[in-house]
Amino acid sequence: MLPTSDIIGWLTQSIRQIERAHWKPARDTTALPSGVTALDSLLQAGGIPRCGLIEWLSPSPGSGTMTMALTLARLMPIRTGVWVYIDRHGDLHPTALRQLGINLDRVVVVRPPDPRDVLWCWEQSLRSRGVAIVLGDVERLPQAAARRLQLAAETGGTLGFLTRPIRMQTQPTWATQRWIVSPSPVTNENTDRGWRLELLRAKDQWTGGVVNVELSDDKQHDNKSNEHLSGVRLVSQLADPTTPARAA
Amino acid sequence: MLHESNGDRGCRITACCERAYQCGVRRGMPLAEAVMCHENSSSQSQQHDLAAETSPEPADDADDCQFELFIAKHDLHEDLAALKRVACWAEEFSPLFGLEEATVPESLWLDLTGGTHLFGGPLRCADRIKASLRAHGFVTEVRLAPTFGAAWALTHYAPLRTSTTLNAGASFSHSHSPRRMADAAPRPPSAHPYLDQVLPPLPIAALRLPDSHIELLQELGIFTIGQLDTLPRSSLPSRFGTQILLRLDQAFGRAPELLPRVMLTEPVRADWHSDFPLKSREQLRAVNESLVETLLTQLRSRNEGLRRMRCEVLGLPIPNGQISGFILKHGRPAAEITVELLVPNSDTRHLIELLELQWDRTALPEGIIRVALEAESFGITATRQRALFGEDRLDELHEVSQLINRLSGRLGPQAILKPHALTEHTPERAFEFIPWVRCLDRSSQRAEKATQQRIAAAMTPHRPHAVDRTASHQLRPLRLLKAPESIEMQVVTQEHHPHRFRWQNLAHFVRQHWGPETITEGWWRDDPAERDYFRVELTTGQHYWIFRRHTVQDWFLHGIFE
Repeated sequence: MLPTSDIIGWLTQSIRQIERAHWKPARDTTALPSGVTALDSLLQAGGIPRCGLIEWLSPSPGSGTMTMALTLARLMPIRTGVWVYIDRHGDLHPTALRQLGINLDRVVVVRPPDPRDVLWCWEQSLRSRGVAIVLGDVERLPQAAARRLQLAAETGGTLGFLTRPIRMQTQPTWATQRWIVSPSPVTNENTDRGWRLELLRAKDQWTGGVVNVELSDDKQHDNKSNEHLSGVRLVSQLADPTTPARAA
Repeated sequence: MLHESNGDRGCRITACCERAYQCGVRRGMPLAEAVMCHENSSSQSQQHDLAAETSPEPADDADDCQFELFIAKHDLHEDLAALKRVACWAEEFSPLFGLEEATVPESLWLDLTGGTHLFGGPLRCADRIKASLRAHGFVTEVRLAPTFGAAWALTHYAPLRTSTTLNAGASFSHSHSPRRMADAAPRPPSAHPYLDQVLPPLPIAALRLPDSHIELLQELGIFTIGQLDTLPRSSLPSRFGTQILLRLDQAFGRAPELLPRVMLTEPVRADWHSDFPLKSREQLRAVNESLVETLLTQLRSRNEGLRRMRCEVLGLPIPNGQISGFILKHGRPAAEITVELLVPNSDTRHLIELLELQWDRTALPEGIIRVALEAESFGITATRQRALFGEDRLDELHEVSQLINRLSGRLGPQAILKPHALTEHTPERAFEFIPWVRCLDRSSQRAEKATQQRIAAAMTPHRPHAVDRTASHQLRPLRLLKAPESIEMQVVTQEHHPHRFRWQNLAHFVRQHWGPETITEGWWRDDPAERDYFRVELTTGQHYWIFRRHTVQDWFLHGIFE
């Protein structure tokens, strides 16, 4: 009798082989280190995938889910290209994007006049090879559409960060990863926001986990190796406090 | 009717119609003063004779606005385009025509040499030019002269209706070519005795000289061309450079002047019509394909691609009594779409896709009998070179422009936006959105190459750039409500900081707050912003951005830290 972990490992590999037999991802699907050590260590692949959809479930508007997703995207070494922001509500504030360290010259804000076009925009943007990342808030996402988006992301090799309301947790997902982002109170003076990230689902992985991250002011620890990251960054609370540089 | 322009010192008048001129409106006058002039004079409405304008600025519909004030912003590009259209129309009188060489060209030159007998002599010809321009609604001054320089001088500075009979008409270049300035004659004879008669009394400004030169000459007591011409020729260049002599000689016909000809651009278009109407969208698609191909073959030979394309279909005439939801053109239902692209493109498949995207959402008239495609704007396509190793940037640029074309095509250019930061403090004024397909238009006057470089620059490898780190209380929310929503502040702390408020019928308790950040700006506007902003963290974990107005002390929710 094999140990359980071996069986799981063997099964995972079989599933992967079956999946690969049916479609071959056009792009490199290896993981990108997110820069937040605790978050990376939670994921077996060692980071956020290079392409695919990541769902961030948000308990309520104002809990800062998109801020977290944007900061993470900025810190990750994602590929060159424009950033597409699908602005469903039509009230994106560019000044905030700039404060997060995002270059406005490469931002494409899409404001579909008809809500029925939102998913079409998502699919077109994810499919394009000139796009680095697609971000936005999606509420209803039917099964077929979710599958299409995931395939589009894999075809185009694009990363898609969706924020969705928490009540969508009950719906099955096709996304590569699904996280719950709940705000945690700000206790530190140098911190702007704090979140508790809970991994609900990740492809090829059966374990979940929790990680606390903070959006912190970088003035405190000015590290030479990371000078171009000065400004906002995410610091995981679980990381060793003596080596904050590794966390970003 | 006035034109206005935005200078450093507010709105100034750049042009006006005759009636406004009669009221006392002058060029360079502040707009407010001009409006006052109009108000003063409209009370004592008098009938005025038409006095001619010195500049052939289009004075559109001067007759329509009897006493009504029409103020519009002076659009230089549109003005120039209109002047070019007039120039092209003038081909009727002469094959050689052009605009003056100036930063803001206002004059049109026609070379009538040898052609005037077709119109019954130079004077009749000039009258005809003037009459037909007037029929088009333009107030112009037309003068004939043996040189371009003299014609310009006469149109701008000659007293109106002088006794001389030769003073109608545009420029007519002298039949024998102006003499070259080879030998050092002290004052070479002018090309035409008529010039010696009319030019000397004119002011020196008529020589198309820079303002600085004119001022200096006037300080020296030289006011007329005649005075200038008597000065020793050798001493002038050391003081003023060579331009002054050149202009002088050009006016007198001693130096040649080239006519900067307006190039006629032939419209690039493709047409299809048939007696048998199209019945389905598939048939329309097939027609579109062949038309796009025809259009592109015309452009490809020049290594150019489409920037903007207009497509129009005409349906069968509607029988009387039927109501149709279509716009009517030549008594027939018509539909029209415009395809706009980020960068010039000559890819048939992509263009057809863009056309289809729009036709799919447009109601088509029944029984299409005519389809017309016209390229409204085109430019040089980026050469796509295969990179030897890895992917090249142009490929990526190509992908991005295709995506933006597709999105803008289906959702309209106003839906695909590029954020742009402005230097304002009031949050809702600190940014603007420009449609992506138009954001490159701003540079469209420059070479297409610059456009390509700009996109390529946006494609530089991703590198998080350092931000000037803002203080915690100056963070901006990611969602800024379209209009601040009123909230009811129920409890404030002793320092008048927020503690508990009601919004959307729910009570919210503030756990902690950052601020206040005071923003006071725009006292010159009707609704100046005088606010104290707070970022508040609620007990439930949300972060909101709220402010208190200084004047009324009421509270608003302005943003959500999403």
